[in-house]
Amino acid sequence: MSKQSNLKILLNGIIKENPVLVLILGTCPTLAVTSLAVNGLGMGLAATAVLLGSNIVISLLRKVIPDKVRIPSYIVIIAGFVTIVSFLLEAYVPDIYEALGLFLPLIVVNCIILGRAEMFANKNGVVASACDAIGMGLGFTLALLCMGSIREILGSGTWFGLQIIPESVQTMSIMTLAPGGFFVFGCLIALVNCILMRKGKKPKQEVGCSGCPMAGKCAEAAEGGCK
Amino acid sequence: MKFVKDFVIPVVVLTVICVVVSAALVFTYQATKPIIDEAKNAEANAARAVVLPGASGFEEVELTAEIEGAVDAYKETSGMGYVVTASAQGYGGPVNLMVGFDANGTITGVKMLEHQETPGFGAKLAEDSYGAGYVGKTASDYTEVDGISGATVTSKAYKKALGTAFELYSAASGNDVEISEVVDEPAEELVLYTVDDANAALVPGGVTKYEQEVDKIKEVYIANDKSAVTMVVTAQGYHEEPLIRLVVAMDPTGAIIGVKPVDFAETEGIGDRVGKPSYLDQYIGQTSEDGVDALGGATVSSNAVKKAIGKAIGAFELVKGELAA
Repeated sequence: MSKQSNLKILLNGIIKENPVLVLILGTCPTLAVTSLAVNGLGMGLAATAVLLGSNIVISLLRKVIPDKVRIPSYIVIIAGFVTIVSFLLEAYVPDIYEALGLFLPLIVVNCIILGRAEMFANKNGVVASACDAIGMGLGFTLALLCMGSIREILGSGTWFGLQIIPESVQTMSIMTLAPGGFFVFGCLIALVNCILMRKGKKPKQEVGCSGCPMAGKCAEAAEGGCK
Repeated sequence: MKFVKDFVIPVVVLTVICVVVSAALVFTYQATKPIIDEAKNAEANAARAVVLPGASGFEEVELTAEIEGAVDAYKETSGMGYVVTASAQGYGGPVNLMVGFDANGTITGVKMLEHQETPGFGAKLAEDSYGAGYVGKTASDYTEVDGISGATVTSKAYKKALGTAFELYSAASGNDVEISEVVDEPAEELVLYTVDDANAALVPGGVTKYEQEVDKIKEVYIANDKSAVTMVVTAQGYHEEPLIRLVVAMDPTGAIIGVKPVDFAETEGIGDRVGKPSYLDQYIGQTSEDGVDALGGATVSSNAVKKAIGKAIGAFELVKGELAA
């Protein structure tokens, strides 16, 4: 992996390699919890906290953890951070804890976190890994916040509980339901693709393997050169 | 030392990671538990304060006596009252009521907790507006509040749970209260008649079968003294099959003498109430089928009965010449 500046790593996660909208990871919690902006923000920050913790620890331990047991080790570390975060949320922001429900413990198996551990933290230094975690976490949080805001404003007429659209206007309650999640998700992916293509940062994608965001890594793996 | 490198080190590393993570969890759990417990307690207290307005805090009362259906009992810390939870078997599962009492045993609020009663029938009792009807009632007069028609089983369970709640109040406060029992009204039975029995009941003087079909009604009977006509009429009720069959008797002026059910396979506890005398007897004296209101919760069955009776009233004009004026 070529050396990248830490700032670039951090910014990468926000747009260019946005985990939700470009890498299409962690779709399940993204669709499930973003019916309200505050839930999206809560989920994003919780995942960011876990990601930051796990990326730092895994990066620190990258020379200690033998290859054979790296996945179980990562899972234990991630699960530990998730449980700690859920205790803290339950104690200090019980409303968010209630709203996130099952999706909070499911951060353990969120592809973004394990994905960053496997793809980045175990090959890079602590500072770079922390930057990567913050970038990815912010990307995830921003994507969720964006989706949550659009769905809440259109679906409930409010934003963070504040009345935005006058109550007399009939809201599109479908936006708060699962189909609305898919609509917004699709539109945001299209928007981000459009922005990236305009800037020429992303070539026109082909349908199929080469169009996959993981294609680069995949090809490395096929050549046996993942390391 | 390939063995050590391949097997021992991975196991040791993984074990150490697990131990360290567990330790971190224990630490966080210990640190956050008091806060979480306090929040949960506050939430439960807020729920209890709904049925005992103005309450500030609660402490659980240890119950010594075994009370059937008792769930828990709490005393308001300043002594202004009690909140108890009692359970009784409803239609779809247990009905749990949280009941607030002031210090004298007067109900300050009733709330039905989770339940599985039928939406539109038993579930109506879970609405706060129904529970509000019990506010101010005591152990002696709580049975006077009406149940909800169409939800007999749930209504009974509700009263039974309230009775248990009064027992709990009595046990928790030490005040002896006389709890009035829920009196079971004798349930009205749906009695089905054969056509002959119905004729005999409606026209004591005996009937003779009219030889013709009248307005597609196959079975028409004329009283032997020509003082009445009876007809066997049908209509589709709530189910496609069997049809509702009624015997309708009318006097020479066209006024209904009586209506008796022959086939009446409507839903038990809902539609079948329409076939009971208390409903069908409302048609006595009517000359049109429109004078009787449909029974709440049993609109389809009520309308089927209305339609069947309408057929008889329509056919009456054709046979009234056979009767003595």
